[in-house]
Amino acid sequence: MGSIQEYGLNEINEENAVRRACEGDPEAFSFIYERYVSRIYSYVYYRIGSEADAEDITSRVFYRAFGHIGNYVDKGVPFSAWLYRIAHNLIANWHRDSHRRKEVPLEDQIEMPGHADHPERVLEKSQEMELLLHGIRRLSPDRQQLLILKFVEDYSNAEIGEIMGKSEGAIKSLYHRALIALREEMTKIGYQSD
Amino acid sequence: MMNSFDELSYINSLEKKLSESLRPVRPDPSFIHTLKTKLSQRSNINIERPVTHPELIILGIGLLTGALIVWLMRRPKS
Repeated sequence: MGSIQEYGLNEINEENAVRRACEGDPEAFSFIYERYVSRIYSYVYYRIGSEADAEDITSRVFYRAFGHIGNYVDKGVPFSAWLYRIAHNLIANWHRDSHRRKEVPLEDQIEMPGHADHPERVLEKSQEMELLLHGIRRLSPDRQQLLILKFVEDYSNAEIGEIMGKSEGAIKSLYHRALIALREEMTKIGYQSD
Repeated sequence: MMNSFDELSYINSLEKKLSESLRPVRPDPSFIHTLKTKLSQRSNINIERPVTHPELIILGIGLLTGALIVWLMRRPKS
């Protein structure tokens, strides 16, 4: 079995990298890792709001993917859907565990990360941004997932549908409901739009 | 109470705010590198397969059969 390095650069694409990773090629998995680590981290970060926990969960996503890729079955949806599904499940576990811990005040829940390109850092303690993120995190998991995939990851409705296992029409409907729910949550926590 | 025009306007404003505010967050490069190193240190991808060892099952059956035969032969005849 040849490794991914034996392929020309033009031949390396997600499809054959996934196939070879499924056959046990660590180089192919490395290619997949490089392609998705930032996106998965970004998704996790927006879902939970903590840099340290986002790193921890991102690590778990890739360890789990690495350990189970032999069981991956290509069902004609993007490979990223599988990774987002793992992340989604781990985030659900994290929320379940965090509910068992002591409640902390709102101002302690919003972490100001140290990297210059983190959104909260860019807006420098912007209360508006804090409220917006807090409002998003009060939505149901599927609505959060949709808003993050749409606005952070910049996926189209069709791509989001593939990732979430829903039709494009269902995504449009979910998007509309998510915005209305977000508006209600923002009103509850005192956000005033321009 | 918002009328439908206010609601639509609010939703549009919220959509604009989301579009302006939410940007991809890049992880710390050292985190990316460290995780990649840890993953690559695993020598091979563990492909999970059903654990079936027919040779062990055959050996077990053979041993049990042998033990039964020995026990039957050594059993005192009444």
